[in-house]
Amino acid sequence: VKNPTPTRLHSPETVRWVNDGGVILVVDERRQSCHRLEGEEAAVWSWLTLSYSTEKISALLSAAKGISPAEAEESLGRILRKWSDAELLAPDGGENG
Amino acid sequence: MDIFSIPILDNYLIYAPLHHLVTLVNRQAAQDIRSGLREEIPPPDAVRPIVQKLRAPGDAPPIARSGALTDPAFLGLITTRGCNLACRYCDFPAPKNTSPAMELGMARRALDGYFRRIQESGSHRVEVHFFGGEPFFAESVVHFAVEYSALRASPLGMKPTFEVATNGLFGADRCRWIADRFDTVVLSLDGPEDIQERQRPALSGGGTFKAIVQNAKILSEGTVDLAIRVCVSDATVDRMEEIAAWIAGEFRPSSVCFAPLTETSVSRPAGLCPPPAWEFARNFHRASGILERHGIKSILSTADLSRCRVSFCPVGKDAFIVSPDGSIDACYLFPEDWQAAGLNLRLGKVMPDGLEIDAGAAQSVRDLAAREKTLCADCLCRLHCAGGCHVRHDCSAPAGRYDDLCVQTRLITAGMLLRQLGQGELAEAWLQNRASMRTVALQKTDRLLDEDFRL
Repeated sequence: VKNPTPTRLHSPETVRWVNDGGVILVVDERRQSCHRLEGEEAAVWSWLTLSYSTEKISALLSAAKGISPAEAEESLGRILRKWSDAELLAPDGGENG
Repeated sequence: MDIFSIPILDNYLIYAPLHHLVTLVNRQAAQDIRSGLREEIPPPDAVRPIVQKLRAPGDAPPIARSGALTDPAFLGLITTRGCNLACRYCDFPAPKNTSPAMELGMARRALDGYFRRIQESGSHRVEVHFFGGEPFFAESVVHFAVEYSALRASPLGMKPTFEVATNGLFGADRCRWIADRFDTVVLSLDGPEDIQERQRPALSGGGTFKAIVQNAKILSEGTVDLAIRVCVSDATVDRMEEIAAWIAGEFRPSSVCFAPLTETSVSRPAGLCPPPAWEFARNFHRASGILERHGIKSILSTADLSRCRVSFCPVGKDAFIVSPDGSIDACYLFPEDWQAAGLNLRLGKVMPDGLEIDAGAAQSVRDLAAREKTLCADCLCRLHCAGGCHVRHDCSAPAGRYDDLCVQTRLITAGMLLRQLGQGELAEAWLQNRASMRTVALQKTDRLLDEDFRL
């Protein structure tokens, strides 16, 4: 059952990123870590910066990868969990939220 | 030989684009150069280097493309014909609000086909341009196509470049994304608030100025190459210097393109007319001076002196411009427009397995671009202007029977050449002299070696 209240994610203030020709470099100043995002991860990050919903990003990812919407949703979920675990993303109301 | 000359007050500008020569000489020197080239007399020492340079083989004149379609100029995506502005001079024959957006699958297939052709040709240049209506009126198509292009290009070691022609009416967050992801943004902004609001109101009837100015500032701060396109009407032609000063003071574009308003079915009822060619040319030069002091280039699309060409637009350069329905054309105008001019600019169609291009149609378009344009035969602008828009500018008139587009192109070209020579003051003096401008504008042949050319 889907959560009727959508979760809004944001990147903490200590996270900075730059897009260099399709490769996104994400730096977390607080954790002194750097992440290089390429391929579908770079695309998803870019779409997140446009404040698109996960449904919308799933649709874009589905079209980009030529996979079903369900597969795209699953793929997106994995990416978002990875970034949440790395504290590049946090739910609104959390730290810095 | 493409050796041209035009009188500038008491002197003569000699211009040979294929020899990379531009010089300003007096009447006697012009006569000596002509006689020297005709081998009537040995050239005097003063002009001998010029004659020698002009006798040497110059560059080959530009010719139409031929052979396989291996190196398309770019892929154009018309994401929608819809638009959120109601410009008083725009008569695009498509519904503003209800025009369909390109489906993501179509954008993907077009890009797949384009990448396949690039790979087959061995090229590494990936260039995607977005057109409308207003391309960001179907923003998710743009957002998709940019990231999908990057996805496709990355494993191939390619770096796609992106260009968009936009009205700039979107949110600041959207604009920051554009500044980050695009290489070139051509932003239409007609001038200070009263001009912009009069000529380019929102579809809803509200103002657009504040949002667009905010976005122009965001674009000015980034690394994107910002070109501002100013449509000049009869009501604003006398304000071109003011517009230039305002743009230079507020923004950081690399160039400002002044485009004279073209009369449409809606412009005159809206009280907007094309600017008089003479005033446009004169004020273009003055505006150029202001912009130049700020390191900003001023552009008239028919007077691009940086290169010689057979076509001033994508037509004939193998650009593939895809409409929302998957049609591939050589031109971003509506088929109704080019059909009305008796032209067929259709190249093919996007298919599930790639771009289906009719090679015969593509060659016809190339040949069309390079066809003989009698009007232009003896004009010094012929290798730069190349006759202008293939659809809207009829070049079948006899040589030298110049229309307004020709007049402004000729005057602006002459002024640019003078500026190249560091003769800005002479250009200004010439611009004060209507009779001298008239002589330049209407001189039937600019060919120095023509019997009809009078010195």
